[in-house]
Amino acid sequence: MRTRRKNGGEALPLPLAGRGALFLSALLALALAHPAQAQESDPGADLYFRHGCYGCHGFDGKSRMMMLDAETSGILRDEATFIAFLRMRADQNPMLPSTRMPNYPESALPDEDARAIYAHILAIQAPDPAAEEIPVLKSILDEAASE
Amino acid sequence: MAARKGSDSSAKPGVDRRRFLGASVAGAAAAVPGSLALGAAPAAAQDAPAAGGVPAPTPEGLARDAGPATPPAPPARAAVRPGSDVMVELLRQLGVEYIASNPGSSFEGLQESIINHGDPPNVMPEFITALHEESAVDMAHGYAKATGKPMAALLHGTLGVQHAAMAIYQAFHNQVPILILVGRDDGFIQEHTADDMASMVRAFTKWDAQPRTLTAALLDIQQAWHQAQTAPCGPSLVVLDTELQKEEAPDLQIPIFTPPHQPTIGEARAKEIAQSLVAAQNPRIEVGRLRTHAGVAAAVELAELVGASTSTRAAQGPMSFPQRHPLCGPGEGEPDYVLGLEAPGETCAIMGPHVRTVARERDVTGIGFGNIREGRVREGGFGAPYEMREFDVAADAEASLPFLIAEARALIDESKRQAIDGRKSSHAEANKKARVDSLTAALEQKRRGWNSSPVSLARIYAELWPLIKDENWILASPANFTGNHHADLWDNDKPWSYLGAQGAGGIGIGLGSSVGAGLAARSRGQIVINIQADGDINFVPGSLWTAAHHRVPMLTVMHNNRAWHQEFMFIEYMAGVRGRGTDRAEIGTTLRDPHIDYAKMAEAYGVESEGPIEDPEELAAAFARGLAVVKEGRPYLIDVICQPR
Repeated sequence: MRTRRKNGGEALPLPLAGRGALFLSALLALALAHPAQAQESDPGADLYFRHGCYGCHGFDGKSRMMMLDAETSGILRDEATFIAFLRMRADQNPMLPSTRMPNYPESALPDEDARAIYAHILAIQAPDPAAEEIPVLKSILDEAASE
Repeated sequence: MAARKGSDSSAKPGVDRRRFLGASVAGAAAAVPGSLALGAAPAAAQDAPAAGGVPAPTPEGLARDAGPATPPAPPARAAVRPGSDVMVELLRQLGVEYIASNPGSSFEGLQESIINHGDPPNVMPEFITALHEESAVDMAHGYAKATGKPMAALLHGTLGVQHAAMAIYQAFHNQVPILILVGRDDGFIQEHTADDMASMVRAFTKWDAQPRTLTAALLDIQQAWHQAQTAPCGPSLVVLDTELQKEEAPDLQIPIFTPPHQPTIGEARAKEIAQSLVAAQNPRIEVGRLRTHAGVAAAVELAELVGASTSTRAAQGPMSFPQRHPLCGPGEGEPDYVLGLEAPGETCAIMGPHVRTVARERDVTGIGFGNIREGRVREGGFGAPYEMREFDVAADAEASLPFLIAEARALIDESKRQAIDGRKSSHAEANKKARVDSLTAALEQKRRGWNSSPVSLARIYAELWPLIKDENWILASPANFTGNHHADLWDNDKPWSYLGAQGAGGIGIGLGSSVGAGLAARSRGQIVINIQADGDINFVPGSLWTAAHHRVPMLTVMHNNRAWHQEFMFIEYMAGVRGRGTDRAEIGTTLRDPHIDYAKMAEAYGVESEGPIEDPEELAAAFARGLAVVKEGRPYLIDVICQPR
């Protein structure tokens, strides 16, 4: 368990660990363990957490709710598109609770920070093993096929 | 079906709520001398203000309730057969296996009878110690969903009823049968009693009564048992005065009890539907949530008899068609006749009444009963309420199934049998292909983040499956906040495989209902899996102690995302809509600084535990260790640091 400083002040504990994680988690863990170093290597890791991107996208961008897949997502095609998307969110209906993507005006998330988050998202694009390479999942599929 | 204040109450339609309650108070006051005839007038009553107001508790009363207990003066002779003994005999007759409760002075007579009366005592029902009345009712909720029958919860006066209110509310929306008994002591602390005790929860209780005689109390317990289990099922409540519990009843016979009678399909409609099913080239049966295990078995029998493909809600809740049955799935070809059993059916649906409809209909005085919404919740899931059509049948599907089966069986000759067998083979092949296709697509999603730390929820469910698939398991915790991965990865083949959602979407129920399912499991050779949301467990964690104390075979795996995560996302959205940024959304929505150590929490309550686990590679071994303990009849908790969803 590591801690992360929030806004340079109060320590904010994070539920992240390194062992067993792939590159993406290791990168974020590094950022959380050594903030100053992280600022240099991946300042977006801090911003990704601080702005709660993990809420819907997972700590490493792999949440099944809304996975951040740069290969398939048009929003992640390039930095400009990504930032434009953050600014253009139009679903402003405050009467209904929603888990849809929030709106991020520049006053809340400057371009520089948005660029850092974009870079972080690209940095955590790590491949997952195929289902057939995961013994537990393969056995579930094999069993279904043999019944 | 109308709610009653007292067994001999004669509340008439047409009065408004204020007048209704006013009349009740007056009626109760008039009845007091008779109902208290066995004892002296209480001191509190003597000191009561002349008009209006509630008398303050006496120092003696408070001292007894809060301080060192002083036993009441002994009666002139030892009890021979107090009324509460007769109540226990009745509960035993009805087959009430457990009664969950947090002790209270208003039912000391009944509690004493439960633990001491009978041979052996404290069996059927067994007194289950709950640390909160909400937990007691949640336990009854989980037990009922696992078994299809009620257990009891015993509450202490106004305090217990209010503590239990949330759990009763969810049981009502989930149409779960529960027998709720409430102790009432008019001669003790006045704040703990009420003239109309059930009024606080009447808006979401199917039926209630406050009897004034012991005989009426027995009849009302029988009626509540009946009401809880007849369609629509729901929590039913009886208030039991202390004087009725203590009243001597040496010769009182328990009234003859008639088993619950369910509204069934008429003979003509049964014949018509059976003819259609048998004549159809490709019949299909959509199966919703039935009431009991027997209903599920009957649905399987009908589907196999006529060779119908079926759907199921087994991944959404209990008492539905076995998910991996060869006939369950999309089937082969387009159906030409679709029958719904407690589910919409294109051609015809047999649908029992909904408890909210009953609540509305019983509201003969137009007083609103708290304006509980008709809602959009059915069977613990969210969706539009079903609107009955003219060709649908308003009857309990489970109770109607034997008639359909008998009619259909009589119509099937050898030539039809051959066609049906061929159809069944086609459906089995099509359903197997559909299963493999859907599973392949699902696994493509579930492999994502397989090695992530914090751990992915899909991996928790996947790693558990090989370890439990040959056990008689119950997934007792609501899975809607943990990804519903059981639906794809596990075989939900038993009526009790998955017990479904909270009822009204309220959190705090997960642990208590899992312990209740565990009580059912421990006497049936089953084990309970509880994938426990961290926000949920902190409402009433004391059920961990109940699990340890009563040797509940329950594996709890914490979904520890250190947040009430749904609310975290709502706040993020709101802050985003207002353009203020999302970097403070953690305030009030997360469980950080300090972290909660659930392994230590469990240990403090006497539950073996380990964690927190952050490395997914450690899951399988930890699950195996936990299951070994659970199979020995003890609870076990594993704290796992998880992805948010």
